[in-house]
Amino acid sequence: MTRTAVGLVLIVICAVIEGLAQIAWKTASMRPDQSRRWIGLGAVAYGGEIALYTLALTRVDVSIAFAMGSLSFVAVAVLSRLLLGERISWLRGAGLFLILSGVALMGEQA
Amino acid sequence: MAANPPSPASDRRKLPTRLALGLAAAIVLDTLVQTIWKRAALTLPSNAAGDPAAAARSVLGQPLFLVVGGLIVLQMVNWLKVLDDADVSYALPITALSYVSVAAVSALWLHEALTPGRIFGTLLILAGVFLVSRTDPNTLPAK
Repeated sequence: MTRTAVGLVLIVICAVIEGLAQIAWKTASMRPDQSRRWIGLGAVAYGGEIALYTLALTRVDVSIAFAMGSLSFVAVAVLSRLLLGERISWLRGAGLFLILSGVALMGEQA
Repeated sequence: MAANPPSPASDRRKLPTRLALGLAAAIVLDTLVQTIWKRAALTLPSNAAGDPAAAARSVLGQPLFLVVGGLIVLQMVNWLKVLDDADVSYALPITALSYVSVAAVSALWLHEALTPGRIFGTLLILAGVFLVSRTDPNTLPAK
């Protein structure tokens, strides 16, 4: 796997981690009795994301990495659908499709 | 003769100065964080992934990472101020303009390529963020 490909994989992992962190914080707001645990989990996830994103930046242009970070919108939507039961309307689905298309194009340009 | 009072429609379009400054600051801070972060990351040793201890030492010894940390804190404070004055569904698509500013600044300052493909990809993402922001912000049933 090339250096750039590793960087792209790291960005995808960052997006998934950000999705999980957002779910943790949303859960904290929905379960006040367990909020500390979920906020802490989200903060740890963000710490890991910062480390991995820094490594990704050593391998990929920031104009690509930052734009591909929008993959987190897709990760949040999919994870919140699966884990929290949030709905994805056709308009939101269309937006997510455009984001995915843009991310795929940026990945191809890296 | 007295001037006509402003119509409700023109009231809605008026952007308060504080909000405009906050949104502009959000875009500028996003751009600074990303480009300085990239500059800082370029100073890490090439074996950073395989040697976390060496990577951590490099991060602690590079003041640019401290600058990035400070800017991220400023970014969060500014974002909370923006959300005091505007809906997140209004503010988010405007600050997505930082996808464009990061691409422009990284081309000028870091000499990254700005190809038609990258510009088109950025515009697709921008359009997607705009569509997502137009959807209902709360789809879960109220408790």
